[in-house]
Amino acid sequence: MSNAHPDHAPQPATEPMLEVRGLVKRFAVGGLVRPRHVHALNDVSFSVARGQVVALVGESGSGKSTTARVIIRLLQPTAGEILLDGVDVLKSEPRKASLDFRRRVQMIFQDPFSSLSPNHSIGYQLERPLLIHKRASGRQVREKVHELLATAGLNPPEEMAEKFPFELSGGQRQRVAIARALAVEPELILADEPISMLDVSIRMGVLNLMQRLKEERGIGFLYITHDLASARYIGDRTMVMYAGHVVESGESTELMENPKHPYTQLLLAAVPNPQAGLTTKTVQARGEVPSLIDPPPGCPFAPRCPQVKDICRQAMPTTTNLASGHWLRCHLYS
Amino acid sequence: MDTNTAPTPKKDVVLDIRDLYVEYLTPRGPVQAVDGVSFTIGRGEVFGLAGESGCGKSTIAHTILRVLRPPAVVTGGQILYKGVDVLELGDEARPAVDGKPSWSLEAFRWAEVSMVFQSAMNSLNPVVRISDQIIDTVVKHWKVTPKQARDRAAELFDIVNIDKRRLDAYPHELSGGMRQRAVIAMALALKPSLLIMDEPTTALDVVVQRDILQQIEQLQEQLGFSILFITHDLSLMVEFSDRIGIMYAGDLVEMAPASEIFSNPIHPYTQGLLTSFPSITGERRPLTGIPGSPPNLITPPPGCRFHPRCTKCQPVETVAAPRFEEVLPGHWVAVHAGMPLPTGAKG
Repeated sequence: MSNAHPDHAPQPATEPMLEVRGLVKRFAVGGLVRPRHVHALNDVSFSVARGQVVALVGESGSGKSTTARVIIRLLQPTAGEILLDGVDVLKSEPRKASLDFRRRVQMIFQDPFSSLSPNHSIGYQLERPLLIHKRASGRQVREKVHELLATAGLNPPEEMAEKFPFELSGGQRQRVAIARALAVEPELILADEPISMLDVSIRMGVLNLMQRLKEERGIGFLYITHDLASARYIGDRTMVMYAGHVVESGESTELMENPKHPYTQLLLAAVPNPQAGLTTKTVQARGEVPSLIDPPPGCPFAPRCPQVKDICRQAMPTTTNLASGHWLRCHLYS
Repeated sequence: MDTNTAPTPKKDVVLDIRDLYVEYLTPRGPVQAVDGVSFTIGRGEVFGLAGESGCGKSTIAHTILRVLRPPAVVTGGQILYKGVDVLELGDEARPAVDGKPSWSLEAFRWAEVSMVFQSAMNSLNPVVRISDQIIDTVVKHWKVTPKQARDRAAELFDIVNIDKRRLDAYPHELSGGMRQRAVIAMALALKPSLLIMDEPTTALDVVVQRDILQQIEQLQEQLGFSILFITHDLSLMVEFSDRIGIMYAGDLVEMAPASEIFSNPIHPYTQGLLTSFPSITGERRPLTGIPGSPPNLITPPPGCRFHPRCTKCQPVETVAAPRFEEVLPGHWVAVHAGMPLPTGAKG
């Protein structure tokens, strides 16, 4: 088990597989005459290498899921580039994602109760991607389905293939969703809160499965979560998102031991920690995430920031690089 | 489990649950949701009830407040609140016996025991102003004028740190955190002695969660009410509670002071739960969680209900039902023959 852990994993290749540059997404709301816009994503840039898990953390409404939905092409970005192995897919396949793109990039959704069809057996739901993407034919299909189920830890596979989603627990369903994503041998999996709806005792099993796939198959993961502890557990890197901006990013252990952005510090101080009582830490920044509809200029965290300066209300800070791939956007450091 | 062994805390007891059984009568057979649970909550104590979904923790909360609805039925046990069996309260208050107070069900609910539900949006009426929702409650129970009730509402908003100018807001006009504060204000409106909080912050972001819990902790110290705190988040519970009971599949499997549960868990399920939460500090080490998944309670496993998932399982667990015993001072565990116990513990 000990060798199945991030600290012992081979260093991911430096060459990014997925690279996102300056991603912007706005949603128009209300009024044809004077439409207003929800600024869901603002200048989001990051990369994921093969065999690397990048965790994206933030509170609800911070733009984590929008990021995944834009990358998988469920939403069209307002601006920006999505590069897969150096090719901008928004230019090469502008209207919709090609079959090849859909094979290479897969997604796992938060709710395994609604992401599987209730009317079809598990086996059928795993056969579909195999047939559509021509990964198997004839008798191989069944064998391949059983192999996928076994990989996802669903045993005995022959029996599991005959079952329907309602017969499975939440954790088993999420494993089916992972098996289905694996069917097409993807290079990148976008996992959107894959464990937050599961019972606590089975969450680690699903995370460890992702960890194994990363190590054994070199699959890259974008792991979206609101739980910093699980981001630290599985993420090689962690990015912190606030109101549609990535405000800090770094190697997970470094980021959590040495958080620099006031928002990251606030988030980490708020995480329950049994070793310390509630009263030992006081939350300094009151208030909640601001409205994203046509926000004022400046840093979105400024209204809550305990260390706010005048400049923070006027302009969004640029990126400051700290040591070893740790960067942030904060006027305190620029 | 044996009622005579119900734990006795040193402080005066506000709530004393004895050998409670609750079943849900479903077409596929009765579901044994609560299977002989006993615990007590002292005055001013925060008692945490932890467990996974479906383990019966919310069912216990609903039973205490007497809001259990068919097909759920209480099939055994007592819930003694200040010495009176809540399960026997009716529409009319009965005469006091031996100086013990008694209430009608209406006078008991909310004035003695109130509850904060998980989803604030669903426990507030969306078409009634917050102020009116609080005023209604206060006028009904305290026989005061609407003006006086409104003053109480304003006072409550102060207590939970919401701007009084928001009193006349509708629920949708408040943020998620403010709505949950309003629900807490409403729960405290009649100065109850026991506040049940069923996953009060699960739908909130961590920063707001901590802010609200810190505030509840301060209020609890000021006002001295007791709290039954229900959550599946063990790290949060260890931080917030004085004592913790761990439930699995309708049974209480371990009960001890919060620090004991965290530093010296004895039951294999508790030990497994504690390895299901990664930490944000310390060494990054692989965690295993617990294999398998919680059982179907229509046909629960015989004997120890945890045995199919237990890594320390002995054959004996499949036959003998465990007994809930005090193995160390103040530390109760569902034990059975052959179970590994720490040195010094008596099983």
